[in-house]
Amino acid sequence: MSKLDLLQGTLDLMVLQTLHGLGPLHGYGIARRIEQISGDEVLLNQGTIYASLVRLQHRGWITAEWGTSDNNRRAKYYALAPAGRLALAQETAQWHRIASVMNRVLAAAEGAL
Amino acid sequence: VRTALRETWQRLLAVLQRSHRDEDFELELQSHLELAAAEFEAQGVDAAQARRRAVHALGGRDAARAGHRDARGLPWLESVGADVRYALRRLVKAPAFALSVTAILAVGIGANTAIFSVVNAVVLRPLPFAEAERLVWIAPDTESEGQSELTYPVAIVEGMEGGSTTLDGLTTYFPFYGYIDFVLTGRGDAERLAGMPVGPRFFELLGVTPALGRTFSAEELRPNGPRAMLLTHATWQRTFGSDPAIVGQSVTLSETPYTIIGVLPASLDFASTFMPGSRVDMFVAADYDGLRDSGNVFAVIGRLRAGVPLAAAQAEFRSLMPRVSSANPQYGAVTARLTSLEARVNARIHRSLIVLWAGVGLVLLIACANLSGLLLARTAARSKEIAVRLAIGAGRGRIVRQLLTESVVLSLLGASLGVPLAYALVRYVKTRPGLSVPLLHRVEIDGMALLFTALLAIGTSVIFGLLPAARVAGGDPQRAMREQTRGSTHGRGHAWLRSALVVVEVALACVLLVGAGLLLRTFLRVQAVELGFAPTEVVSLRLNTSPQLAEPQRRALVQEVTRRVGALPGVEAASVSDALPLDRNRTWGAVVPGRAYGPGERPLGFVYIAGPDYFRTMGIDLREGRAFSASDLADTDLVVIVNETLARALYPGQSALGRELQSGDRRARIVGIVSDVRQTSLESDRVNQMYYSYGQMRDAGLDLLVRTRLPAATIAPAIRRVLGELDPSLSATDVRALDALVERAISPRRFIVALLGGFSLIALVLACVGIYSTVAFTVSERVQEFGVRMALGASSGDIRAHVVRHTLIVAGAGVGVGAIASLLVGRLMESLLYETSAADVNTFALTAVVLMSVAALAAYVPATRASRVSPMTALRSE
Repeated sequence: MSKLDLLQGTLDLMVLQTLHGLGPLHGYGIARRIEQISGDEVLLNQGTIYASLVRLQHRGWITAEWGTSDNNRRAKYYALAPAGRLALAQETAQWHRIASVMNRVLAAAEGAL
Repeated sequence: VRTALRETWQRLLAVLQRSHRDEDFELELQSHLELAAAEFEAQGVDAAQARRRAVHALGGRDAARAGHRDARGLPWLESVGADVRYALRRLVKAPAFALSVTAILAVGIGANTAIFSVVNAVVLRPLPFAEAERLVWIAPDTESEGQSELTYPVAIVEGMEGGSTTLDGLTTYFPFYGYIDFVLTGRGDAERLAGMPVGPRFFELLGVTPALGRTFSAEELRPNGPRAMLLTHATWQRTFGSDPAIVGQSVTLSETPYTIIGVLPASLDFASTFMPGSRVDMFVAADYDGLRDSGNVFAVIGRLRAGVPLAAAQAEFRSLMPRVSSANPQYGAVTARLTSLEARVNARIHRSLIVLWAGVGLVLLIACANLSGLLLARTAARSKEIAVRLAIGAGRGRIVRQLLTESVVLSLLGASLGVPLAYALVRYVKTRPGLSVPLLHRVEIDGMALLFTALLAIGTSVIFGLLPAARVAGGDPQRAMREQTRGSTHGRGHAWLRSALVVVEVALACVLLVGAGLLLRTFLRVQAVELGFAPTEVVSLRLNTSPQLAEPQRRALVQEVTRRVGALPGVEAASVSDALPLDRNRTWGAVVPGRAYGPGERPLGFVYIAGPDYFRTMGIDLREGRAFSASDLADTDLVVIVNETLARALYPGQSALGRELQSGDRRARIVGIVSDVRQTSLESDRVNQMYYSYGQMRDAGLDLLVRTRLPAATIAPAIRRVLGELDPSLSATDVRALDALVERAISPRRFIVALLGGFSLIALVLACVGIYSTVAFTVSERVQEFGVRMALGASSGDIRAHVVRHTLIVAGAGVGVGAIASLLVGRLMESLLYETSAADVNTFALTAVVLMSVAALAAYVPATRASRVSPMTALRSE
């Protein structure tokens, strides 16, 4: 089975959800987490996570700070900002709406076949 | 929206902190890779393998950096910035190229900006009046330029005003320049002020509000009302030292007290608008009642009612005029033609300016073709580099954008140097004395002109940059690489394009040269016209006599003045006249007593009231009979002297001498016939002219004329001394050499010819440079081929002849195309030509010879270089 190409904007939502679930995390950690949860179904060059992180920072949804990891390495840690929490809720609701509409439309189309 | 703004702002910040953010991201990348490698190592992979896998999972460092940077900053802005920096770096490396291109563009764009501001001020911008498009010029339907034939009597003006419903109103001014003059006394030296009588509501109708004070009140417009005057802004500054408290002050004008009631705004330059080349210093209220019996005296301006088209007003006047005429039968059938004031004001100069504008546009096009050729050569030299970049995956769009950026940068550099140049040119044009071009005072490099320049610069860069860029975009990298290798004579396409550019350049230069040539020929023809008088060495001075003097005393005084001035050392002759050729004028009827004339057949003639020695002083030939004598006085029979044209018109086929001429109710005996004199313009000949003796006829203000070899600056004080000795109330102002009148008449033509001539010279130089650089480049590309040819036995003469012949064929094609285009363009210029055909063979032939010689010259130098190629060096150089 081939890997899924991500829709524009969905990566941002995944990043927000990951930070919401796990708390402050560095870029590598976020990327690994998404790979694991998706069961390696998502086609993700880990590098693309950084474009998403920059976008979210610019919108003021996440903050970044250099810190030290468990095994004593320096890494940049990202954390959800209050505005990000709000955005996550909105975007999640939005996603559910789109998904349910898509499901209904596709179901109706199958019925017609 | 706030999120979007915030994001843009953040991106902009990121662009500004580029290097800092890059460093930060490098660290982050490094930490990412270490974390990933550590995880792989923990799974038991060896260190080197772990690092490789980490990079693989990342998707490559560069891709990550690029993605990060694009998300972070403003990619397009950064790439434009990079392109500009790259272009500047390349230009700094080729200073000769950059300098010559910038100079060419500066000249082209500067000249265009300057001419645009002239065209904008004179033709494009509305007249300096409120809702100027509703103003119309109302004048009798005639081709004549005689002022008396373009004006109306008071009764007709009143008839038109009372009868018209399509106009909001109409007003008048008294266009006989120099006939209403005032001598200002009591403020230092006596000064003559040229006064302009204007009708009721003149300024209100034009929509001009005084800068200080007010306009004429109803009281002041009434006959014998309070005497009031308005100053022009220039007079206020010059004569009254910009006195802010001037309004309400009383001054003495020709021994009568006048109250200054206002100062007009600087934007209204009445003379420059209505009578270019002359001067109006002040305005007084026109005395309708006093001028009621004076015949045609007023020029009429009307304002259309809002929403009424000109044609409707014209139609109304067509039916109105016969009614007005029949109510005033003494004036015969009076007609009216309505023209928009705008068209009237710049009627004479409009076509010339358009030609000039087209000319300067051609210069810029030639410059574009030239630069296109230069850039083409430059890109050709880089074609291998570009091919390599294309081959390793650079986007074509990116490369084209880079090339275009280079031309935009060049253009903007050229424009920034062109603007000061334009300033200088405009300054020069504006400060030319005696240039009779309307509205010249408002020519300036304004925001509009700068906007035009900016657009021009962008447009120019696209025009000259697109061709080389398109070559790149359309080029085949493989072929480009192959062509760079040995043996082949370079790309046919390039050579063909370069020849085409030369053809275009030569053709454009040809059109410009032919245009300038035709105008120059016209100019020489006009300059060589038989003036009918000899202006050189004649000086005129305005002779101001006290208005209190009774007529006989005044005549005696004037006679004494001419006698004494005529006797001054260095003076050959002296006389007086109240009208001068190419200066102020008026016409009266001139008929044979008792003869019946049909409507519109009654001849009119220009009138001069002159002194005894007038013809000798002016250098006008006396053909038959006698000149005036000192004994032609009020108590002797009225005599008149006519010019040959009027003599023929009155008494065709017989001598007019001794016969009679009737003007109004005055009958006079023709005692002399003189040669024709050009009156309204240098180009209009065969007009009727008649001269009366100032001893017998009331004059309208006299000019003292002196024929002398002495310069005006020397003779004027001597004359003033004579006047002072005779009568302290006499004064002489406005010293002019008669040559200046001729110069003023020819000045618009000189203006156009000088500018267009200058432009065609530039065009010629550009074409020469263009041909030279093209041939030089072609030769450098074909060095090896020439080497082979010479090795095979061609002589250096053969090579040189080959190159020059090829250039001449290309230039010849350009001349051919240009000549055909010139024939078409020439037809548009016909109205500007005088005694010159638009297809003048001499002009065309001369242009062709000049262009071909320039082409041969431009080709000769590189051709000689080609002929000196040593076969061995050429072949070895591969």
